[in-house]
Amino acid sequence: MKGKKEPGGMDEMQNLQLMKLEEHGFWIAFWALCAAVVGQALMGAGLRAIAGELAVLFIAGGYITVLCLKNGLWSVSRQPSRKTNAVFSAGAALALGAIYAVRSLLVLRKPAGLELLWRIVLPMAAVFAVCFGLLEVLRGVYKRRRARLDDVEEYKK
Amino acid sequence: MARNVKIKTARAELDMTQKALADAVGVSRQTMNAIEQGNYNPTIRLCRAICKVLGKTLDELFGEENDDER
Repeated sequence: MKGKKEPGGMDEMQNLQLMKLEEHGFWIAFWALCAAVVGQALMGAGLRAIAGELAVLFIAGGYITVLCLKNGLWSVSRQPSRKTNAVFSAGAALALGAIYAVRSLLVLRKPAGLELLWRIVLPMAAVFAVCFGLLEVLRGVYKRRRARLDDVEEYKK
Repeated sequence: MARNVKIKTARAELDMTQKALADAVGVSRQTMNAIEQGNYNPTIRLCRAICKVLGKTLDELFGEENDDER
């Protein structure tokens, strides 16, 4: 009996190492793309200018989300909960608010005031609502999927 | 992870090099060395292949007493 080798001649440990490197590569590319989108937004780029990057991010994010839910996986470090979803949604809203504030005040040289407040607060509230709603829906889907995956009959002779 | 001295001892009993054992079970020498150094936890399939080649049981080569050998 021999250990199974991949068609490329790699054994199980080398295969595992390659998968880890690919995983790291994926996350480097993902966060670098996020940074590029934020950087371009801060420099005043419009939605059309960053549409390509956003499309790639949505494809990658969608792929990960769908496959994780299909396999009943949520997170290595956190249990799914309403509180965690609220915290992360607030984080996303604050990040967007910071980007809008910096862009408006420093790059576009627009004066601060009530108008600016609404230009920032309303999108932040919208992002929080969308993120929180989406995460709560995904949490529900995850729980149902998890229950279904755990509800399998044991092997019978 | 603890070093696996048992594999090295069993290999020495058969006068087998790390490369020969690696070839016999179908992995690279790098992987076999990582297993003996305790840097890689092999799959049960590979554990069984190593046991078969060295003529030992899973318990003899991968039993819990290996955890004390560092």
